[in-house]
Amino acid sequence: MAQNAHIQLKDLSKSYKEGDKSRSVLDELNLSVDEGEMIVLLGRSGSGKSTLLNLVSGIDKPDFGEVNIGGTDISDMNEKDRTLFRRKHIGFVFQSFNLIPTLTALENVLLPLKLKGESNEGITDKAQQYLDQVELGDRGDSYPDRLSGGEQQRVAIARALAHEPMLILADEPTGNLDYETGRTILDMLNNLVRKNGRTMIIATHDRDICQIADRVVELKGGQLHKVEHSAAVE
Amino acid sequence: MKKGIRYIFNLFLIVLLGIGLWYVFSDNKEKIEASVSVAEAMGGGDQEGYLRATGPREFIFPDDHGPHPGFKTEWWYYTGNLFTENGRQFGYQFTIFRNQLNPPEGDADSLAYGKDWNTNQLYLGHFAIADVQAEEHVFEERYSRGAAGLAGAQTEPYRIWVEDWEIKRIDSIGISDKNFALQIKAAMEDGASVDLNLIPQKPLILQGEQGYDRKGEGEGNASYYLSFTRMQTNGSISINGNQLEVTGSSWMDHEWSTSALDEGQEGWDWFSIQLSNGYDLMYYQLRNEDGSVSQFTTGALIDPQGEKILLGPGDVNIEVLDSWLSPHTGSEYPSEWRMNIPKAGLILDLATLFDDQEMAVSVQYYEGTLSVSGRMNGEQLSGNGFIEMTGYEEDE
Amino acid sequence: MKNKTSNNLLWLSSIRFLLRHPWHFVLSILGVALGVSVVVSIDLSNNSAKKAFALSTEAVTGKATHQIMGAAENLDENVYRKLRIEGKIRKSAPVVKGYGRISGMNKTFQILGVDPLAETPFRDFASQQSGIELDDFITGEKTGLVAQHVADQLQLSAGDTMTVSVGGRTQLIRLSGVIKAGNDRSRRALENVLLVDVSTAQQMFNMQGQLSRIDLILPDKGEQAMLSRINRLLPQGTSITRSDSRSETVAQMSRAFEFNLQALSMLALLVGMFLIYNTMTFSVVQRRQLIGRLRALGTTKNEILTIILKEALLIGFLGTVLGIIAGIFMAQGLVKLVTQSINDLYFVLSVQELSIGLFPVAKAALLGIGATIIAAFWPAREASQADVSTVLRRSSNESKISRRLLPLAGFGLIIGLLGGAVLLIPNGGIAAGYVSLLFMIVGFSLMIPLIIVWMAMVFRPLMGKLNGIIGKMSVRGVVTELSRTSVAIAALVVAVAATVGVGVMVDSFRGTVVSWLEAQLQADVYVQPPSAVSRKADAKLEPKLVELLKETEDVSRWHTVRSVDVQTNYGTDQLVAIEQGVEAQETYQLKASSENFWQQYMVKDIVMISEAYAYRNNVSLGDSLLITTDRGRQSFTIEAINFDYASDIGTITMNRDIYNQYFDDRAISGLALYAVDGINVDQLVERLRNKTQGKQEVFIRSNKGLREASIAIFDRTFTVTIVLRMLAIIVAFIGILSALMALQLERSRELAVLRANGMTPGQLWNYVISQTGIMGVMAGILSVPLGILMAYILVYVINLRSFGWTLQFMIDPQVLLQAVGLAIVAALLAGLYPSRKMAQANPADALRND
Repeated sequence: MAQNAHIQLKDLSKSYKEGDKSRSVLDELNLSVDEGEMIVLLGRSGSGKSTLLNLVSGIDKPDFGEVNIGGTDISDMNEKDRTLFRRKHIGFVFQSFNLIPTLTALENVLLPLKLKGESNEGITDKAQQYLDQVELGDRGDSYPDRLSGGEQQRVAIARALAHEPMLILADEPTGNLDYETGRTILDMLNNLVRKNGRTMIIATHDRDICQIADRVVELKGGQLHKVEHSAAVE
Repeated sequence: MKKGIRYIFNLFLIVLLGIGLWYVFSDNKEKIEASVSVAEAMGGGDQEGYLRATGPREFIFPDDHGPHPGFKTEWWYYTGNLFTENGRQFGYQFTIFRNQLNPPEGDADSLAYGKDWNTNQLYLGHFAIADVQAEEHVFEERYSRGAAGLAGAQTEPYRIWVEDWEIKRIDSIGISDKNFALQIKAAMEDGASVDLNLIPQKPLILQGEQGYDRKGEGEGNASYYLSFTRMQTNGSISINGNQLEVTGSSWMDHEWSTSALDEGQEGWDWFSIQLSNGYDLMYYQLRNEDGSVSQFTTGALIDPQGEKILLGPGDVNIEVLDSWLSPHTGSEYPSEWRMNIPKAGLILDLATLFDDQEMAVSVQYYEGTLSVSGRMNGEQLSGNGFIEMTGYEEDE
Repeated sequence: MKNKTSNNLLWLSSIRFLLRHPWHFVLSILGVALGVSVVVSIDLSNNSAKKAFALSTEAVTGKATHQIMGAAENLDENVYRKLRIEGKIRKSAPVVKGYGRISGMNKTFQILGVDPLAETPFRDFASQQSGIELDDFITGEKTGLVAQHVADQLQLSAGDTMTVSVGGRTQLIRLSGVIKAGNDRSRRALENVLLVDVSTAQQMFNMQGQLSRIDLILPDKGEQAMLSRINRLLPQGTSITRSDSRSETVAQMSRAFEFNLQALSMLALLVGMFLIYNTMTFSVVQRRQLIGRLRALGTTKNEILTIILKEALLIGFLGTVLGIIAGIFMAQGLVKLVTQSINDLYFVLSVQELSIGLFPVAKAALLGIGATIIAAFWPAREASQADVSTVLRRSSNESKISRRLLPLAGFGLIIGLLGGAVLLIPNGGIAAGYVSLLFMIVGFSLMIPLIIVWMAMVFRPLMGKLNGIIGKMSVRGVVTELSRTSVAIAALVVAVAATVGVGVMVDSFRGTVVSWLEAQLQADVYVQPPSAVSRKADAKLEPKLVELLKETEDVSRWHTVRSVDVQTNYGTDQLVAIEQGVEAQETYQLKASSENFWQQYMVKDIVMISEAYAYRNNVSLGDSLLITTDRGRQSFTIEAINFDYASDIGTITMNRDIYNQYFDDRAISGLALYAVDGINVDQLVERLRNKTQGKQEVFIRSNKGLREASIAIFDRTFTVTIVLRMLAIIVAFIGILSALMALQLERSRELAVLRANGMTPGQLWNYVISQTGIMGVMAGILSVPLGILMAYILVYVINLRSFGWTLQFMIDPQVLLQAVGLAIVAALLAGLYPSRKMAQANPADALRND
């Protein structure tokens, strides 16, 4: 594992309280991700994948350990700083798309750009470009309720890419899609991420996705275990 | 776009605030102002129904020294020249006017004043003091309704008053009911005041034709006119905070009438002069609008015993030598005269002792003390006097 | 810079949500508008009344700095003469003042008798220099002047005759001219002034030889010297007061009344605030997912907070504007009610137009927007604090309220107790009373969620029996969605409780007054001339008439009453002199008294004061009262305190014999006649009326008639309160409608699931309506204790501290039933729309991803 990896998780621990007892979800977890790598995170439901993603994106704070993204340790930051970090440097693709229903497709893609706070010049064009990349360039004015599931997810992908984040996280991106659409989405995601040189962690329980990954890891017992490609595919 | 809206919004608020503030402040600054306008429907003929002086009559005293309700206008007029021990001279004028508001209707209105607040009589007081040395003239006007004890005129006991200005009979110096001593007491708001005792030195003079003084063509354009031409005066005068003991000589005129003046008459110049040889001169000129002297001009020369010599318009020549323009009213008043009465062998040089003795009150007129010098039948004379000039209003 | 552009998009995403769900938006706005409109209309009415009073006082007081007044009501006119002649006080003017009505106009005029010659420094419209023709005015004929626009309204011009009625007697006054107002302010100030000469006024009021007062203008420098100089000239019993303090005293009389009106209007605003809290909470809850997504994308908590607050600001702004406009309209009608009440109770007032000042409008704007922001703050904060991670899962999440029930209720209890503690603050006054009320309302509301859970435990089996499984489900649903249902229920509870509280207070008051009147009015017939202020019986009966009436056949006995304003060491007070013996003890109900009061009061210098008087001036038995009489200042000991609901200012009662010793006034204000046993009182009244024909216009009323007339005045006064109550109910109703509708609409998913599982539309109706019905019942039940608590505070604290009255607490079960009924009806109606919508909707649509 490279010392100055792009993403570095060190001794990450997180547990939840249930009544009197406390349940440990992540137990001194370690992970390094190089820039441009695509990691698939496998794990059964309830294994803590979402928790891990929450910690990496700064939505939640670990009990112990470090979360280093691009050299910055976000595990110590307060909630506000983590939020600000997230909006600049993290892109998210969700299982249930999570588009803002009251914004058009173009506006949805525009949102992270605006949040990032760069100058207003040309950001609409930029958003349009990304929308083009997901082949929805002509649907910019449509509201999400007018788009199919696949189309919505595509907009979500464009949104995740638009502000050129350090890291893209995807939580079961094909979970709500039928098989065909899912494959299409996955291909698109794979292509665009690689083309734009982004780093990505995909959390899923679907082993088929492993094919596109550079590396596959499995979350079991609060710890990550490396998985061989071939084993994953089977 | 948002910025624009915000800007407009702010502007709107500021304008609103501004309007509001203006509204709040301006509303408070306005005072309650109102004036009364009275209908033209009111008022009949001004002079109808009053008593008029139509001819000589018997006088009964002390009653006729008192008020004559029924006649529209009446006044008790006192002027005098007073001197301190050191020779400082003051002139004073004190007049109380009675004005009847409505023609008399039966006995009820024969009262000179009402017991309660209703009354037909309005009383006016004019009081002026002229400080010759300082060339200062102070004056004040006061008025009140003749009711509720605020103003009035009565014979028993003899009292004519407007609030705290009053003329009273001094009982302790009783000469007769026709000639009695009086006290005049009055004070102005700034403190200038007089407190004088006046004792007639000559009998009462009935001016004109036994007290009936014709002033105009029309019947009733006349007044009843009585004078005390020389009254020994002593008492005190207060002016500018100084109280001074004074003695001197006063003159009293008591006249009552209804519309004495004719249509074409503008006003009068009226002289009252007390000469060092014991003679008193009363002479007035009625001036017509066209500038000529009215034929109804009257005068009287009273000898030291009180015998009256009547003077008519032809008997007296007056030449105006100088005049004074009033800065207050813009009227021009004569200020120096030469009077020639061949009938009496009298030549007098008269001049106002100082210029500004104008009375600018609800009526505008001039009342000033005179310097008197001259000759009578060759004998050198000096004296004191007063000149009253009316009808010099600019816009007439 | 950064924030602006991103906020744009965030704002867009948010506001579009509102526009897509217009009901929230509209109802919130309506809630603010209603609350604000009530506050504005009350404020404007009060202000207009105050302004009209100030203006007319100003017109009548003119530039006078001081006023000389007599001990009882009038002054000997000799004082004026002395002042002017001996005292040489130049700036003085006599004034004779009273009230009367001019036929042709339905309002009371201030009749001002002056001496135009003295008026120049005081009131230029009344001075001779302004053009009053003296030959008409002072010479004996009864003439008068009114303002030009009044003459126009009366359709009279100079020269015409006016019929003026004073104390029941008519007089003919010739209009000898008109007063032209110099500006609008003057026009309003002179609206109800009839200017006459002193002599005319003396005749009109039968005050020959007397004046009402003497006005003075004293210079600032040397004022003290002048005052002592003047005092030396004044006879015993007369006094000099500053003219502004006098009018201030009069204005103060109605202050408590106005304050209470304002407080009630605040109550309406409070209810409005609940409405806003309600709808904001719902709109936030509905957007939980949206907010979560934005947060996941990196929107900070503050940014979320700002957006929600901006929305609230927008709602507040729109609602306030709407409210102000509506308030101005409402005020047109309300001002008449308020004026009528003030006229009935305190002093003569004529308000012809509404003064819309900047201040009330600005205040309302501040309140409206402020209330909205305050009400929206908690939901906004809640929204921003929402746990982001939970949003990313699909399950809908009941907020933490379930964990916080107990602490919340505990907190509520503490606040409630704090509210109670506030009452113990000495001299807390009315304000403390309202603060305490507020605390109790808030405290109670915080306890509501816990109580709902308990009630649900009772209801569930009940509903199960009544309505089967749907019944049980509907109850369960109330608890599972507690964070939302409790808010809706709380809002309904507060609103309905408010109506209960006010209703009970009004009933208690009325009940107390009715029973008090029954005891107080013992005589069979009451005679008094009409007075300008209904409550004050200070006009005078013509003595001949009194004799005539006393000697009527079938009158067994009688007693008279004289009512005057006097100066005491506590200011201007009302004194009633009764010509009765020991038997008076049957009429007056005493709260406290020394022994043998009724025996002693005929011979000793002792008085009885009313409860309100004792409270206002903080005096009790044994204290002394210094009354300025015609014999100078005299000390009277307070030996009895009686219940009296006729006046909130308070009354001093004294025996007529004692009164006659110290006052020269021999007039009679009222006559009470007792009929011989067995006589038909109505016939007697007829006979008495015939006797007074053409002599003096008087009110001759039987016992029953007087009671009814008095109650009518009370009812009129409380009309305002009742109107407010209505408005509070409307606000509550709308609030409930919105809250419950929102609730059901939000659960469209779950209901769709139920439908998909085979629930028929009919069953869905049942479910929704049952649920809202249960919430209505819960709210109704809860509103009773809160309402009674509110009534308790209103009666025993606020009323007591405002006026000093002891009221009997009366709870009419009807009021309670009405309240519960109202809550249930509102709730059921609120369920109609959502059930219809749900029943009609296609379940499939709702089940799809949104």
